This record gives sequence, C-alpha cells and structure tokens, in this order.
Amino acid sequence: MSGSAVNLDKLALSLHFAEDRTLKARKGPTPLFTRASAATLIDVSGNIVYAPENLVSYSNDFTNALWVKVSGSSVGALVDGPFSSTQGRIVNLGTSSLSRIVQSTSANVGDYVIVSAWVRADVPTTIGIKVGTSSTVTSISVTTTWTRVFGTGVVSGSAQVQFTSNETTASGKTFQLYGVQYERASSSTDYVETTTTPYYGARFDFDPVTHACRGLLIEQQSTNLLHNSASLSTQIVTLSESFNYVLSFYGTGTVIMSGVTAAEVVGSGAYPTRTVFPFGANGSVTLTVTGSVLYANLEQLPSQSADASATSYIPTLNSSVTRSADVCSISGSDFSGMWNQNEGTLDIACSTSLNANASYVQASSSSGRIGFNASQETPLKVTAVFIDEYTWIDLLAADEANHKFVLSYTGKSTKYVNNPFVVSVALDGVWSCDNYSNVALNITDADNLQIGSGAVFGTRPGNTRISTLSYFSKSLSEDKMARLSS
Amino acid sequence: MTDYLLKFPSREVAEQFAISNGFANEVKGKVHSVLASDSHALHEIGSHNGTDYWVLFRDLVGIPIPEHGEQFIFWSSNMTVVDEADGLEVFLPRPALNPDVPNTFWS
Repeated sequence: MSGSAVNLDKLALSLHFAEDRTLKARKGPTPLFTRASAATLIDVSGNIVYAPENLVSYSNDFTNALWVKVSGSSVGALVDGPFSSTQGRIVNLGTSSLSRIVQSTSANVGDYVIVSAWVRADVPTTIGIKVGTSSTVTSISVTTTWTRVFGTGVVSGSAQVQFTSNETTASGKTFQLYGVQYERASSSTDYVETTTTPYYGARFDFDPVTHACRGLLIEQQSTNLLHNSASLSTQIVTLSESFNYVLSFYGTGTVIMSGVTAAEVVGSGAYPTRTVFPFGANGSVTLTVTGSVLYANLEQLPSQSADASATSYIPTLNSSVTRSADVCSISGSDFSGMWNQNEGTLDIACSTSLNANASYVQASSSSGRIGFNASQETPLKVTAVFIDEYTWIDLLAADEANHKFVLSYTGKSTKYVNNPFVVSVALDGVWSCDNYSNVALNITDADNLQIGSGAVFGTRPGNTRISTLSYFSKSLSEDKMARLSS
Repeated sequence: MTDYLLKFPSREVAEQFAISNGFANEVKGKVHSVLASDSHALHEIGSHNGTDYWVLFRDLVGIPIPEHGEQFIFWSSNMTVVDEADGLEVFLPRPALNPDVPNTFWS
C-alpha cells in the first residue's frame, strides 16, 4: 500500500518555530505576524542583533513620493526584472554630480547598515550606494546582467539610502533597479518587499550560552528610558508612580541610584550574564555609573502590566525608545478552515513568564476563550482557561521555564451525566485533570487564534518563547495528551 | 505608515478619544489601551509639562483620522514644509531635543 499516512488525529496546524525558524506552518495556515517597530534578538552566535528588517517603504516602487528624486534624477518605465517581467524600474541620474534617488530611514547614527538591491544596465556603468547623508559611498559596477549588489557603511549624518552617480563631474546615467533592502545586520538576509510600512520581522532567538534556538519570541511593548544605552554613562531619569520599572544590563560595573529612590546595583558578570533589578519610584533618579554597564535597559512597563521582568535589549541614543508589542495570530478563513468548534486539542511548548497578564495561546471570540494564560493571582499561576476568565484549571506556578501544555475540549463527552462539555489538560508528560462547567458551552463562535498573546492584541503578551504549537480538530485521548506533552 | 505625536489636554480626554475610536476598552471601570494590532501601535507617553497627555501612535495601514481628531495631532510624519534653500516641499522632521516636547521615539 502506498500514499500518505492517514491523519487519524486530525492534525490541522503544525508550527515548529524553534526547529524551522520560520512562521511557515508544516501543516495548516501560516500565522500573520506584526510588530510596528524594530527589535533586537540574540542570534545563533550569541550576539545581540536587530531582528530581520527592511527599513525602506515601497522597496520596489520607486515612483512613490518617499523615493525623492534629487537634482535631475527621475524614474522611467517598468522593465523585465531579475525574476519575472515588469519587476524592475529604469532609473535616470541627471548630469549633476548631486543627482541621486533617496529615501530616509529610521536607522540611528552609528548603526552599521547593509543596503542590497538588484541592478543592471543596457550599457555597463558605475553607481554609488550610501547608507547615510554623510556616510562613505560604496562603488557598484552595474553590468548587463541582473545582479544583487550590496552597499555597506556606518550611518553618518541622516539615515538614508542613496543611489548616486558616484562621480564628481557626472554625466547622465541610466540603470535598472529592483528590490531595495536596508537592514542593520552583519550580512544581508533574504529580500522582503515592502509597501506602506517597513518590514519588522518575527524573532527566532537563541540561547546565548548553548546557542540553541528558543523559538518565536513574543514580547510586550516596552520603553527604554536610558540614553546611549549600549555603554551606559551617568544620567538622570524621571520616573512615574504609574508604572513599574526594571533596570537590566550586562557587565561588571555598578549603577548607584539616588534621588527619590536609593540602591546600588552591582553587575553580576559579563555578557551573557544579565543583571536585573526591578523597582518602583516617583520622581527624578540619578544613575551614577562606574565600570562596564553594557546594553542597558531601564524599562517603563505598560501601566496594565504587573510584570517586572526585563525584556530584550532596546538600543537608544539621545531619546527614550519604545519597542512595540509582537502580535501573532490566525484569523478569518485561515482560522475557520482549521478550527473545530465542537472538539479539538491545543498543544503548545513554550516558556512561561512572570507577567500577570500573560497569555500563551488562545482561541477566542467576543463571548469566550480557550487556551493557556496567567491567573493574575499571587503567587502567579499558569492556567488553562475556557469559556471566560472565571473558568479555569490551575496548572503550575509561573517560573520562566519551558513547559509543554496540552488542552482538549469537547462538547459531546459522555463522561458526566449532566454535562457533555469537558476540558482536560496534560502538563509536561502527565495528564493532570479534567473539568466541566455547569454553564453551557459558549465558545462555539471562536474566530481567531492568538499566539503568544490574548484577550486584546498587545495587551496580554506572553513574554514567551514558543518552540512548537499544534492544533488537532479532535479531542485526543488522555494517553495521547500525555505523550504529546512529554 | 504614518507616525503621529498626539497631545491631549488631559488623560481623561485621551482615554475617551481612544475608547470612542476603538483604541481602548473600558472593563469594570478600568481603561485598557489596545497597544498593538495588525494595523496600529500606540504608546502612552503620559504627562510631560503640566496636565497635557501625550501619545505616540503608529498607523500601519492608512487609518482615516477620526472625526475631531485633527485637533490632537501635534506632529505627524506626513506633515510637510517648504525647504527655503530650494523651494521644494519636504517632510517636517519630528521635534527633537525640545524641552516642551516628549523625547520618546519608536525603535
């Protein structure tokens, strides 16, 4: 007998974030991911780097007004591109040596940037690529064959990608351009086309010691109040009682707080050892720095967050900087095409956090939810929640460790005489319990699956790393649940 | 994508504006901002000088400015000015290092 295996368990979604390092599902729909700003992660070599990004908008629409045509430059007709027809665009540089086509970006002065693009010309020529208005120029030979070329440099002046004539006394030049990417990285990554918005990619980060991939990182919004955070110096910050704060840094230096609060925070070691110090204050605090205090965050956590854990490093220069929340979900026809309202099994392997608002995965509607989140109790527990926030099963004390959770629900159980609705849970290899409610099953209108957050997007982020997530459109047996969670 | 720096006369006005336009929810008397979605992100900077309440807002998809919303826009990334040097219209940079304006930016 040949052919594919029978899908007896009705696996409908299979995401292997840690192993595959992509959002793309092995089975089922690929989640939609959004983060509205840049962010950092720990890469496979253990370095703190920016997440995948393309900081230009309209990366292949050079007619857009964001691409400014300076000193006689212009864009012409569409042409056959490197991968298919009418992808490339003719660019004409004028006779002025200042002639160029440019777009400003949000990179910071001092950032190392790689600009990549595909270029060709009917008549071979030379152009220049710059990453900032005062940055050095990379000279590019343009041939008659589409070639991905790279310009590198440190941002100086204003962050801006520039395609220039690269001559002091220029004559007009014509070349063809496709697919510009502007990224802060040591080497270029796969091109991601942008339109209205720059691309801020999902983060698959790594353990800084073992270099093992820890999965998809989903974090809450957070603001770093420190200036020049890469190597901290003495400064004054103003804090509000409305928020919780946490200071974090790498290195063996010391930060002495004085003013409305007093503390001495001694660094516990060089990277990757991170010193974390939560505190509250209301007013001006002077941070006096001695020694090596590197990659420092002083995070103002969202007012609705009770968490005092440090999140990923947020680089700053002369301002406070806010990193937006990671948002990951499956909705619309992608969701309805895989979800069984009457029975199913959710299976997630992730780290828990000390965030009282954390939600790790949940299917929800305006009337109910089912999944795993934090209990918002003291001591903080991770719970399986179903129907509403008042109906849950306690699982374990939140501990910032990795766990495997499996939840099965069905509305047609015969286990209990008076109620066919049963939710059962397995944790770390053990089927632990089941529960049933006296209220009617009311999650038959679930319309989305929120991954790493819940309730309202961005307001209950898990601060978690998800290594795998699966969904079966069938209520699995106790034995299978135990095996899945081991 | 359009960035906005919004200035409200008070936190209460900011919250009511957010609730009425779907960027916050009121649950059991407590207002919860929707900090991020597939179409926007917002950060409550809070008070800066006096009672003014400042908000960073990033529109990812071209959200129409709500009715009566213009009055709260202190700066947006699509504001333009004429460059005196060459007479060209250029985007107005966001105020920076101005003590009267919060110094918080998106990463």
